[in-house]
Amino acid sequence: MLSIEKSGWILMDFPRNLNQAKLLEHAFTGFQSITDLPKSSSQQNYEAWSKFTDSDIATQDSSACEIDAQPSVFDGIFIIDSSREECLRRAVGRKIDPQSGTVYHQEDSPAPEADAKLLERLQDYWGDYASQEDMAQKLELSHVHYQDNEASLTSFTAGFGQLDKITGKGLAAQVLINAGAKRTADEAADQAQKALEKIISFKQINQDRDYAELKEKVKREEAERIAAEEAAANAAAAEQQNAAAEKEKASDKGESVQEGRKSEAPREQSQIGADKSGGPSLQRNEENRASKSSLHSRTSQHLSLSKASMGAGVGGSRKNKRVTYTKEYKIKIWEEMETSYIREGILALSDIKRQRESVTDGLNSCQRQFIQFLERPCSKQDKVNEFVQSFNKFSLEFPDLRKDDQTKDELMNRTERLSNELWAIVDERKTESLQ
Amino acid sequence: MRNMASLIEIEIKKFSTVYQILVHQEPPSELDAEILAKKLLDRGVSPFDGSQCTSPVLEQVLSKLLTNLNESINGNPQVQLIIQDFEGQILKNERDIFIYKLALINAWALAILQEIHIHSRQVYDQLDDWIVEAVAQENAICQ
Repeated sequence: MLSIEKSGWILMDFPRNLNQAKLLEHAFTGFQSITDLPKSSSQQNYEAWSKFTDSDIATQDSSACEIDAQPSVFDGIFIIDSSREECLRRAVGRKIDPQSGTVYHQEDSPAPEADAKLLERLQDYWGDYASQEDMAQKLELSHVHYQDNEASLTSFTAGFGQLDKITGKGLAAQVLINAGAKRTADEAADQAQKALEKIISFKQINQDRDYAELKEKVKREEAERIAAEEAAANAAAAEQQNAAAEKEKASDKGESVQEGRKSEAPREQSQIGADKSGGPSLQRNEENRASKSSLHSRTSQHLSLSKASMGAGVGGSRKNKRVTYTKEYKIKIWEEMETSYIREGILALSDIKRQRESVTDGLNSCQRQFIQFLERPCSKQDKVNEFVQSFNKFSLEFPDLRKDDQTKDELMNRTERLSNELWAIVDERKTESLQ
Repeated sequence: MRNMASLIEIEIKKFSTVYQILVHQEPPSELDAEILAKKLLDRGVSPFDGSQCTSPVLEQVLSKLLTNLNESINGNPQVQLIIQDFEGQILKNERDIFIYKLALINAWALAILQEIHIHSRQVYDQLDDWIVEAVAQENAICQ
């Protein structure tokens, strides 16, 4: 069924009656006409009673069938409208060519009169029927059957179509094609094609819109997710900053206590020492220490941010991947990447090398084959040689006959034949070359 | 062309891994070369333009990649947080290496394509000469 759904399908001469149409729709789309739904006992009693009292009301009530652009399993329902007499006229008088399988009609598409062989071959054609009488009888029956169901089928299928949710406008699935006596097959086909194009474009527009909506939805969800992540990251950063500020406060207090206990001399010494010899190096050391501590704090902050972004702080906003970037995990992904980098790199490079070689080989073999093609033997020269030999032989054997008129005529004939043969060879070689 | 896209894809994987290790998340903009190259080729974009010695497919793939790369680095607030740190420096270096490798692959692909283009042109010119020669010989025979 999947493959059928992908490529679509066409049902011909089916459904033939209302029940078949309803069952088909129900099987595919689950559609059920409100008239077919089981009625409550009170409603059944009312209808039974009202049939006796007022038949008009009862009939009106039971036949009310409101179908408002109901989606159907069919994108299009084509009803080809033609009179019974016209159908019969088109069916009668057909001939078939048993060789090609082409069907001709005496009036609509007669066989070419110039082709006598084709006219001889033609046989009467009755389609799937045994004889003309059989065909006429069964077509008549089919028509009677169709006419009995035509009204109910057309009114049922008229309610189906494709609905545009945004504009609220619908496109009916049912298409009536006039294929009466005055219209040619091409005209009817044109009408069908136009209707089909309309249906397809309507469907395409709807599909494109659905796709755009889906895309928009995904985009919106992604934006929401990113916003939630950013909010979580900001919250975590603020928390981190608060913690750092508290730590700094605590350390400042400790330092001030220590500084109060120390004397001023060592401080001066250290200042002098810095000025004299180790000034820049000490400064660099301090900078390094500061940068290390800042790196450390930023790394830890970054880790907390990433954890928050991975879902630890958001509370399930990101369900797809909750990865904690531990040292082991980092080593693992690096090693995986390294392995695939080497393996796939080697494969791609060897593929490129092989393809280059195959291109070169292909071009060389192309040259070889072309030389062989050009050097293929040609029988033109043989024909000319044969002609010259026979002419010389004749001239030697019968030198007196060369001036005879009959001989000249024969010679002209042979020359013309040779010319035709040579042209046939040229044409044949031309066709081969084009191929 | 597809093998070149595979090579680019390998480099993308490498950059993505470094990005993940440093930023602790995958690059937000999808970096993909193979699918894009395939789509472009299916759409009929020419793999090689002999007159200008360029590859429209590769050009489009690389420009899209560079846009996404910039977006991954400049458009990601988490990267901006670490951009001045050691991690940021490593990421920048890795980005430069990645761009350099892309340029290298592009140049190599163009060199190969040009070589094949010239070779095939020579072969077809040769075939054309042979056709002229063969026709001349046939005409001579007919006369």
